[in-house]
Amino acid sequence: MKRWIRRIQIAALLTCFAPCAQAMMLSCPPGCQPPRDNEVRVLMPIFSSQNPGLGSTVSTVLGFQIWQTLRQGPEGNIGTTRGSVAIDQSSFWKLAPASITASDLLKKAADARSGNGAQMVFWGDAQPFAGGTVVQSWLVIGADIRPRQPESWIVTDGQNHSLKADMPSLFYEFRPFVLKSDVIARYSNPRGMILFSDPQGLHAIGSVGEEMQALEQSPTAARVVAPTRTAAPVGWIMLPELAESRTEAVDFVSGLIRIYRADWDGAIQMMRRALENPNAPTKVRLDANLYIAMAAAQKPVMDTDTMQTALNAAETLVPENRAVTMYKVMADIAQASKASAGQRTRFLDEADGLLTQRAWVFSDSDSWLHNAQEMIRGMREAAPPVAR
Amino acid sequence: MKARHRLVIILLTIACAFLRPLSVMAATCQPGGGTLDTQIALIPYVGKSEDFQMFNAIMLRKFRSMSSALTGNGLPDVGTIDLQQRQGVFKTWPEEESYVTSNHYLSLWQGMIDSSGQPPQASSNIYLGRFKGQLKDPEVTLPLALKPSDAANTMDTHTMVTFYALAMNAIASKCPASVSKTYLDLALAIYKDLVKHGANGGHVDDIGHAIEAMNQKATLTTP
Repeated sequence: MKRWIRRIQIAALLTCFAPCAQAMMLSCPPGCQPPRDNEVRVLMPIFSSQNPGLGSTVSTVLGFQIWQTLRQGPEGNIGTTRGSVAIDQSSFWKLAPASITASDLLKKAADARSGNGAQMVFWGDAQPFAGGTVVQSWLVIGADIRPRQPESWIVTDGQNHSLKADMPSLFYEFRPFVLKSDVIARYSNPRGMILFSDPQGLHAIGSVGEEMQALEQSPTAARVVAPTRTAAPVGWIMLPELAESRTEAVDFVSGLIRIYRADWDGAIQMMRRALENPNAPTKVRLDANLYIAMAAAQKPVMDTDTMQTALNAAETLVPENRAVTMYKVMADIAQASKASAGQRTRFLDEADGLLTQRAWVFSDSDSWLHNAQEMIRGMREAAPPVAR
Repeated sequence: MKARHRLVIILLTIACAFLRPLSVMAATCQPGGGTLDTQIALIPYVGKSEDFQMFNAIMLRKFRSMSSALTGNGLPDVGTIDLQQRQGVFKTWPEEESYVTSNHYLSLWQGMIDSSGQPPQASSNIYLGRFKGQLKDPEVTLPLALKPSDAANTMDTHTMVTFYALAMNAIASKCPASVSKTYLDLALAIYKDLVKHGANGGHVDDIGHAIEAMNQKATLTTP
C-alpha cells in the first residue's frame, strides 16, 4: 500500500505591536526548523479511528477550532510570541491505539518530522456513531525549550528570593463529544477547501492547496494566503459551524496556549469558557481555576478578586489538594511581594499556616514544600520588623 | 561444569522468568515500605464475546491514559494498571478473596452482558477484598454501558473504583499519606463527574461516599 504523507501546518503569527495581525506560514517539510524561542506549538497527530479518513478529518476540525482562537497578544507580554497548530496527517500509529502512551505522544512532539519541539500534543480517537462522530481526546504536555516559560508560575520578591510552581498537571482527558456529520463532511478534505475572493463566500477562485497562512480571522471565515497557489494566493476560506461546535477541550487547550504566551487576559477568558461548559471534567475544571488564579496574579495590576474566587472554586472542587495548596501559597507570597510591610507579614503568615496545616499532602521527596518554606523565611528576614 | 548442565541451568532460568509469580509486578512506595499491587484479574464476562472484547479494549486504553496521571510528586512508579484476562468461575467471596490475595491482584472483575434487548444490559461485579476500605461489602456492582455515547461513564466508574482500590492499597502498604491522598483526589474528581452526569447507579454512590470519608486528613494521617 502506497504510503503518502501530508502535512498541513496552520500557523498564525500573533502578538505584535502592529495595528493589524501579521501572518507567517509555518511549513514543515522534512528537516524543517524547530520552533523558535517565541513559538508555542500544539501538535495534532491524526486521530485514531476505524476509518482513517474520519480520524484525519476530526484532527483537522479540532485543529481549525484551536487555530481560530489564536489572537494578537496584548502589550506587555514577553516579546513577540506566535502560536501554531501543526496538524500531522502522516500515518503515524504503528501501535494499536490502546497501546499508545503519553510517552509515545511526547516523542512524536519532539520528532523533527512532525511536532518538531511542540510543547503539547492534542490527540484522540474518533468513531462513527448514530449520524455523527464520537470523539475522545487527550492533551499531553511536554518539554518547553524556550528560555522563558510563563506557564510555570514564578514569584520573586525583588531581593534574590524566588519560588516556582510547576504546572498542576501534564495530562488531561476530556469527556467524549459528538461532532455532527455535516461538520465532518464539510472538513473532510482540507486541501480541497475552497478559496473565495470575498468573506461571504460568494465568488470561488480555486482550492487552497497544501498550506495556508492566516491573515485575519472571524467566527465564520478566515483570510489566508495559500502559497502553493500560482494565481490569486490570497483569499477567504469559510469556516462555518466551527465556533459554535467548540468543546471545553478546545477552549482549555486554547487557554493553555495563551498561558504559554503570557496572554493573561486572554487565558482567563478562554479558561472561563471551558468552565462554562457543563461537560468539562472536574480535573479540567480544577486546573482551569488554578490557571485563572495564576493569570490574574500576573497581570500588570494583580486582580486579587479574580484570583481568590478561582482559588476558592478550586478548593471546593477537590479540598486539600496538593496543586490547590501550592497555588494558594503562591498567591499569598505573590501578594506579600507587592504589599506594604504590615500586609506583607499577614500574607506570609497565611502562607506559612497553610503549609504547616497541609504538609501531609506533600511527599517527603517533594522539594517544593521545602522551597516554599525557605522563600517565606527569606522574605521575613528581608522585611523590616512590624509590630503585630 | 559440563555443557549440558549449563544448558539445563539456562533453560531453568528462562522457565523461571516466565513462570515467576505475578506478584513481582508491583510498585514500591519507599524503601522498607510495602508494595502496591497494580494488576487486575478480568474474567471474561458472560454474554456476547464481541461486546466483552469491546469493553476490554476500552478499559485497556483507559488504563493506558490513567497511568499518565500516576507519576511524579513522590508517587510510586506503578506503571500501567494491568488488566489481565484470566479464566475461572468464582461464586463466593471466600473464593474470590483467596484468588486475589494469593495472586496479589488489586481487584477481580466479573460480569455479564445481556445483548438480547435494546439497549444491552450489562454490569460488572468488582471484588476489592482487602482493599474495600470503608465500603460495607468487599464487592461492588457497577453498571456497564455499551453505547459509545455512554462509554465515558463506563470508563469513569471502573477507573474511579480502581483509584479507590489503589488508595486503600497504599494505606495498607503504609505509604505516606500524600500517596493515598493523590489517588483519592483522582477518584473524587471522577465521582463528582459521574454524579453530575447522573451516572451514579449501582454502587457508585457507595464508593463515592467511601472516597469522601477516606479523603480526610484525620483518616489518612492516623497511624
